[in-house]
Amino acid sequence: MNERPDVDSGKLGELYVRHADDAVRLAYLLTGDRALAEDLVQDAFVRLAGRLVHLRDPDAFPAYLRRTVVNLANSNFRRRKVERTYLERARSDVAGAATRAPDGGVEDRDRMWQALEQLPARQRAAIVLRFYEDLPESAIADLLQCRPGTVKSLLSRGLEGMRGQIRGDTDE
Amino acid sequence: MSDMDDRVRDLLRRKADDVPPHRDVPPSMIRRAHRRMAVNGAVVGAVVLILIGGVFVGFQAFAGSPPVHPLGNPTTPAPHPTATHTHTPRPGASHSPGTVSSPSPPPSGSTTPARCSLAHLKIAEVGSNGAAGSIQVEVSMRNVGSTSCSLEGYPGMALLAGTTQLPTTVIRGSSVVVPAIHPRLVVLSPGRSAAYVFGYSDVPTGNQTCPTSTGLEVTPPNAYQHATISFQSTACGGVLTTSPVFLGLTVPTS
Repeated sequence: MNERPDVDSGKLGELYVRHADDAVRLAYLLTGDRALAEDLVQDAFVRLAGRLVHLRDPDAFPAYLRRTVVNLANSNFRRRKVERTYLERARSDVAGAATRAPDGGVEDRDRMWQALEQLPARQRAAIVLRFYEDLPESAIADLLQCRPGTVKSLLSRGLEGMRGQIRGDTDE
Repeated sequence: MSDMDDRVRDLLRRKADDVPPHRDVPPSMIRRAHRRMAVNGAVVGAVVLILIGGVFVGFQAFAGSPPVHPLGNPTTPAPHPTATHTHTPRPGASHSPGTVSSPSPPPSGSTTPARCSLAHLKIAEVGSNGAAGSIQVEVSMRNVGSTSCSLEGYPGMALLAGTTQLPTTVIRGSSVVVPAIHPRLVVLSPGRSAAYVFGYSDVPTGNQTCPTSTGLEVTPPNAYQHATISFQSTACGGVLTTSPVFLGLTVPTS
């Protein structure tokens, strides 16, 4: 990554091999859909391909990629809001019948995952960027184009929402 | 809170580990990237072409617009015959007597012949008369081109001492030696002449100075460029009162 990225397919391919794994994992955590995550990351690489010649600092590519993935995931959420609302309703019907375990086992993680999936896109993005990417609040604010105080609020409400969701599932 | 943080952190790490590694570059992605770059290049090219075209059209429009005359170069007939124009000295104004600088653009959309530029005209002093401190000078403009051209309005002038411009004030109107002449369109067929007269005083008024001039810059009406003719004078205050251009060399009577 110390050399300047170029627009030919060799360089783009090299960047893909180097950074796609991290990008797909992030996209997957942001969307909850592995196939969609793959598509978003490919879209992100295609978008960035035209801008690589303008990239002054090659080391900045991962940050550009992360920003593009977050933006694409948020756009995708907005586009699929209606569909998602329907799926959430269907999922809540099934959740009641799901097997649950009282301790922190597989079922517990599934409940947490479902709770994460039901958060609004920005709360979910804030949680993923904070607890998976380990980004400081200022960097998250920059990515989500909001103030650091808003990030605190998104994190707090997101975690509270997950807690409430898990508690609700357990009480049923 | 920290327990929840840890649980969320653990959840995200485990879920991320579920994603298999990517080793192969999808050919479809490379094709899409190439298409996108081609489209971007085409868009940038189109924008550059539009900008270049816009600049070219703007330049053409500017070059074809009616001239904006510099200070001291009288243009079309003045609404008030006694309008005063002060000639601001311009650096580097040096021309051999009777020579021309360059042609000025003709007016667009006119049914009359094109405006006489310096390329059409030979400018010369016809003669001077003086009495009681007031001097009248007549200057001719002969069409030396092969096509007709037109003049209308007042000329511009600046006195020269060598190659240095002297402070000059041009008054459009009449005086004791300059008859009142109404500005008219003058059409000059090849070989014909127009003229104008101007007057000045060589007797100072108040604390006026009367610098000695050796030359005169003459700018035809509606022209940008001037010709320089030999002109010996001691015009007090650099004040010149001029008539508009008229047809022929005979000074009309007011």
